[in-house]
Amino acid sequence: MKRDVSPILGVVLILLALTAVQVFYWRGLGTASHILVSGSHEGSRGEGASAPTGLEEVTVTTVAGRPEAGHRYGRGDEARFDGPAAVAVGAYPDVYVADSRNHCVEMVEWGGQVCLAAGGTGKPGYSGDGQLPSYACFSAPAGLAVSPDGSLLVADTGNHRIRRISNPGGPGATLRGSPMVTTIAGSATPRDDLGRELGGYRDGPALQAQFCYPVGLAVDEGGAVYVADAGNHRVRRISPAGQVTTIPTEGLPGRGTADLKAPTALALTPDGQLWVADTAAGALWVGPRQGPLHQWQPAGEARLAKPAGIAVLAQNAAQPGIYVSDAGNHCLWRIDGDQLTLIAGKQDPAGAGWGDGPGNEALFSCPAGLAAGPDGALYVADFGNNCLRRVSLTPGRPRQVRPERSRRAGRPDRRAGGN
Amino acid sequence: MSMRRHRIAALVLVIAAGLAVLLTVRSAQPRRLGYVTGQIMSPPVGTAAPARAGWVAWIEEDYLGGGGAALHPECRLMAARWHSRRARPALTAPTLAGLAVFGDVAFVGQPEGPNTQLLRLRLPSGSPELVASTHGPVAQIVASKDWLCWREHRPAGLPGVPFVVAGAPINVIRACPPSGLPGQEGQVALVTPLTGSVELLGVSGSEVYWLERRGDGLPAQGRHASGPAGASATTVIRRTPLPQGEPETLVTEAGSRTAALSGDALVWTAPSLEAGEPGQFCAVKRRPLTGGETTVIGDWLDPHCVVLASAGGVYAQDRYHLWRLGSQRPDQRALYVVSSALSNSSIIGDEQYTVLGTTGAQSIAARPLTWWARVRRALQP
Repeated sequence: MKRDVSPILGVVLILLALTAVQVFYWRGLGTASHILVSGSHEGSRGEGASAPTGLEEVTVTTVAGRPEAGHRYGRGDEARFDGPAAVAVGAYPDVYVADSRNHCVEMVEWGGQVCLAAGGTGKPGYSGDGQLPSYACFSAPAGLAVSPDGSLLVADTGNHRIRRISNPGGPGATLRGSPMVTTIAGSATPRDDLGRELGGYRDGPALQAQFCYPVGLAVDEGGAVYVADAGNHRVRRISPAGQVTTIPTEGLPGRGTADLKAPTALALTPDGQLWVADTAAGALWVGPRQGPLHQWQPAGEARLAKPAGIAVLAQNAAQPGIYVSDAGNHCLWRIDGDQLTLIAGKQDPAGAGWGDGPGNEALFSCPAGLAAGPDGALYVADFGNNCLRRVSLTPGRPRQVRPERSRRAGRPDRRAGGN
Repeated sequence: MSMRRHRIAALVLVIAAGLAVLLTVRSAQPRRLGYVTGQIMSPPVGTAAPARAGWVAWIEEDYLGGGGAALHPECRLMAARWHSRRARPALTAPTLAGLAVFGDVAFVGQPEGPNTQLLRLRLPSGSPELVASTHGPVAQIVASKDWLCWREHRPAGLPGVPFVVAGAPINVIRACPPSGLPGQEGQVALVTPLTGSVELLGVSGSEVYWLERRGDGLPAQGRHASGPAGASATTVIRRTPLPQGEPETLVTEAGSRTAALSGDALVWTAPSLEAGEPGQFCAVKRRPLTGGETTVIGDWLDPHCVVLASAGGVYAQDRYHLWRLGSQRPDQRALYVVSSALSNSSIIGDEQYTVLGTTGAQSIAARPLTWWARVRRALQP
């Protein structure tokens, strides 16, 4: 039986079939593209998710520098740092900054004027002992502390040595006495094929001892120097008599001994405790100054990511306590008993930024060194933002403290360590 | 009868038209040049302007063993003729690192303990010859007619501590003539050391170009309340004459950026000034290597996009697309639909044909760019 098939129907059917085939191919194209390129990309935190933020009554300001890296002296945001890793408060209001990628130490004077304190070449090297600090060479200094006699101790990290700048300061330093650089601890270590010292580990007389990437420094009232020897995973002590020893550590109760991973910051409390920030392990250690140190476990849910600086505000400050900068979470913490309190910045590993203002709005980028000022404020070496920040812990406008230099040459008004 | 003939003719026409559409659609999609047995370790490289007889090469890694035996990695240097879908292994070793191709000669690094041997072999099946031995692991190789350059990457002395510059990873750029000399003679240490993330861009004439990302190890860019984009990082593009000379800084951009050599020009990503929100969008800029005016050839792109270049053009790759950028004015066409390809990618090709590969992918993508190339490609077996 013969049946007439409508040509229109035939064409429609064929077009439908072709459309189905095309759809199949286009879907195949989408699938194929997933096969073709199968790299992974970490998704970012959703915009809706909110990270914990600091306290509203805290005020963060930028004292000197801007996020753009560079090497320039000047006032406030005219100055440029490149990787400020450590900060220490000297004869108030002078603040010293270890400008690590510029291989020098700079001094920030009253009003945010930045000038050179040591290491004027801007290139890495090891030289200048017995000379003026501006002629000395350093290699990526990453730790600072002010000793009771007013001299500035520098962790010359790339050279694996600890150096002292007596009568430190900028242009006016000579008025307080002749500044000079000396190596107080550390000796030559094996070199690689590029000529870089690899560091070593040896206790004993200070100038024969060996260090490996020393970073954090602290000085006690008697003049003993504590060194966060990051590459050796240890905390070392240089006695006033010039003997280097290693401070022992112990693990968590029931877990035996444990080593630090990369200690980078130290602080001494008035009650005789030594606090250590272990950046690589994301932990704090505490114990008597001669040891043994044990790991500190915070209560609650807050956790440190990469603690990079510790500072102690004295009891006479408005907000006394132990403060910690967290380079991994881009924020600052305060230790309240066994709790961590977020005081400034946003606790977000992906939330680096640069922003002044109240603690709940301010942003940091890899805050590293931390120092307590006699004005009750904290000074932060904001490594990622290439600037020096000031954190006022009291509500309202930042306190304006007039500079009160000691009449005695090189003597700071109050001692303040730094990292 | 006549009506019947008309119906048949109409049907034939419709079917022919449908087949033509199908052929075009099929030929327009990215095609797999060949399955990779394992996954790509080093994306495909070839001569910048490949001739018909040129070669494309890449390194793929697979794990052998199993069935009770311990798995062990095997790296294969694969080579395929330009326009061909057939790839063949040119060299097999437990590990291979870094790859460059110039003409029909491939340069590849073969790690030996802490050092690396730089080998040269003629594709597809020449025997490898030692060009140089290095002190450290080789991460990247670029080659030109007169120079072979490579980047040695020393791992961090102080891992996990991003703010201690002295403990950061170190990069060393070295160079020697492509013929090389066994041992250390003839090598030139160009810049030592470079901290941060360093990427060799290539050799043009007697100058080597590279990119440094300072502060790149710091997490998160572009989320700033009041700061500029990528405040944590600065990107610097530099060059130095071979065999010796002072490095010259060509470009400094805020943020973590990418760059490539496109023939006689340098192209790089930069904050978008037109968008006015540097952290939200990026632009692609172009500047002749001999100097001259910098022009914007792409704008309003994903802030994390990667710029790639071949003899066929300049491309911007974001997490979803590969865009082909105009040389004079922004002329953006989505070339591929990619899923998530912000890892190490490369693109080679000419005006008619491109090959794209990404580290970690399991195949090489090939894409005809012109209608005739599509048809020719579709007709190939």
